[in-house]
Amino acid sequence: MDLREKLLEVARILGKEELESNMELEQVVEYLRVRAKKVMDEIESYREQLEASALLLESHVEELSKTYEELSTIFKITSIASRSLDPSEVIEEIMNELNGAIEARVALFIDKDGRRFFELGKEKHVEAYARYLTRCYLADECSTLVAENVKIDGVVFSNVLIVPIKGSRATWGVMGFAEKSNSPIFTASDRKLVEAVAQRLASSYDIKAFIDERIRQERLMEEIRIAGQIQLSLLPKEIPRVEFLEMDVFFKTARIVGGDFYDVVKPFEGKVFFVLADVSGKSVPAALLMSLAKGAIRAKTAVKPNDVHEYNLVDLASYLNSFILENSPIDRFITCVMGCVSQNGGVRMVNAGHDPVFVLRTDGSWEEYPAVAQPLGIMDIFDAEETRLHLQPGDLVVLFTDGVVETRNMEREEYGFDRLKRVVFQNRNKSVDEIIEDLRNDIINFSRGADQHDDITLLMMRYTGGGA
Amino acid sequence: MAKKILVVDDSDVLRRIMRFNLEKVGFTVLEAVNGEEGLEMIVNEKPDLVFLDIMMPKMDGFFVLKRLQEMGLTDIPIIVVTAKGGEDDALNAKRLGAKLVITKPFSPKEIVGLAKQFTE
Repeated sequence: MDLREKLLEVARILGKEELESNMELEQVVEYLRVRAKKVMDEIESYREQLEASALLLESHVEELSKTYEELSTIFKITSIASRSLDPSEVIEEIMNELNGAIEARVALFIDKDGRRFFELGKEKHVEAYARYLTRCYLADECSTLVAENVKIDGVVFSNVLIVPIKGSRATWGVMGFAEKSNSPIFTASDRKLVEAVAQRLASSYDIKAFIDERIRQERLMEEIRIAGQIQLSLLPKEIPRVEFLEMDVFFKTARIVGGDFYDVVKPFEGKVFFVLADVSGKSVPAALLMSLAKGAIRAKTAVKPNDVHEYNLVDLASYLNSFILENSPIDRFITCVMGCVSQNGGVRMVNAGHDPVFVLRTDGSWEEYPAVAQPLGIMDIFDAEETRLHLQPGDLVVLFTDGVVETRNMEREEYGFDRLKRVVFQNRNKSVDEIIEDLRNDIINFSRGADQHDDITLLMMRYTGGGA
Repeated sequence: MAKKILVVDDSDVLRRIMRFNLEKVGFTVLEAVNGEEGLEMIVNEKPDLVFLDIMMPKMDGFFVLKRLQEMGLTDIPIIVVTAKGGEDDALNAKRLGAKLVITKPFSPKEIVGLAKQFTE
């Protein structure tokens, strides 16, 4: 095979079209030259395409790598945030991790109390930025800011990224980054990352606030429970046994602590002192005043064994009036009935602004003894006269606070005086504790389903005349 | 002369990411797609550091570590990079000679930091 034939064979391999066998050597060489140039041009084109693809692939890998970095950062920050219930304990670490991804030269976190965490950057930059962040936080509409060429208090920041920590209960603080390294701008990716972390932090702050609130409420409830126990302990452990009086009481506060109180003491033979009172208002303040008043009465009525003088009820009420004026807020007052029952059936009492005292005589007739003076703790001067009556054996004395007659049912009807009298009358031949039990059940049945809105106290006495 | 790092992982994407980040800071990066290939490259190329995945076809990372121990090739630092999260797996890897165990997803910056630390 000569050179021409060898080259023609090569040309046939390279070429796509049919070549004539009788082509001259120069024609074959020219053909090969053209063909070779085409192949080189195609190779060059493929090379350029490959280079472009490689560059594109490189940029995708770079993007992927960044995303991977961000994912890793979020995982780490989530782990850090989970370590403590108090976000302020881990803010420094979180900001450090976050800035590792953001790569800002100025970074700062300020919480809602103005405390600064993770201050990064030159002092004058940090101070200017801190002032700006504080103003931003205090502004009504504090939202994410991504901006370039921002001048703050004379300092120019080429780029800034500010993200508030907005929870469901409050805006807990604000994160600020500025002067990003290796880039003229903070990217959308940077913003997304910081916002994701801000959301996580906001959640943590919300949870902490909720837990703190619950702890406060639990502590308060515990203190109220203790106050209720103390208050209950101030009430008489039992009604003293007296030959001439059959007595019982029904007492139920509307809340854990209440404003009603009662006391029955037998200071000496042949005498029973009683008081039933209602402090205005409810819950802890009323209970405190109740405890004070109770203490004052007990102190005043402490009698040495050999003293047999009568209590001056008006003096006692007047003393209590002054005591309340001196020791309680201006809007608090006490309605009360205080009295003394003697073995011979004599009753002296002072009703200061309280509901009437009912007396059911053995002949079935009712007597009412209304208030003879204003409630205690309203005016400086207390002016009253004692009410006096005489009981016959079998007579019932009924004292109650307005919580009894104002008990409401689901239809918002009140229990009322008439119903109270009817139940007592219907059961008048039973023992006092049985009548009290019947009244208690009737009140419960009447109010079934409705919330108790006021304290309930019922004190009942039957004069038996025993030992007289 | 640039330090040589071998990345043994069956995931193309992860090998790419690691190559991208390591080459950026001047390392020479070799790749192996499974444990068998990785073992061969460790023996032949003697890299300065190996990043070794565990869950791979043909030969997993634990087997590679075991073989290296048997062959007495324990002077090349190996960092296990694994998706397996169990503490037992980490303990196992360390017992078989791994210098460190890191879990996926890893921080590329962390990889670069470790590469610099272990090839100093």
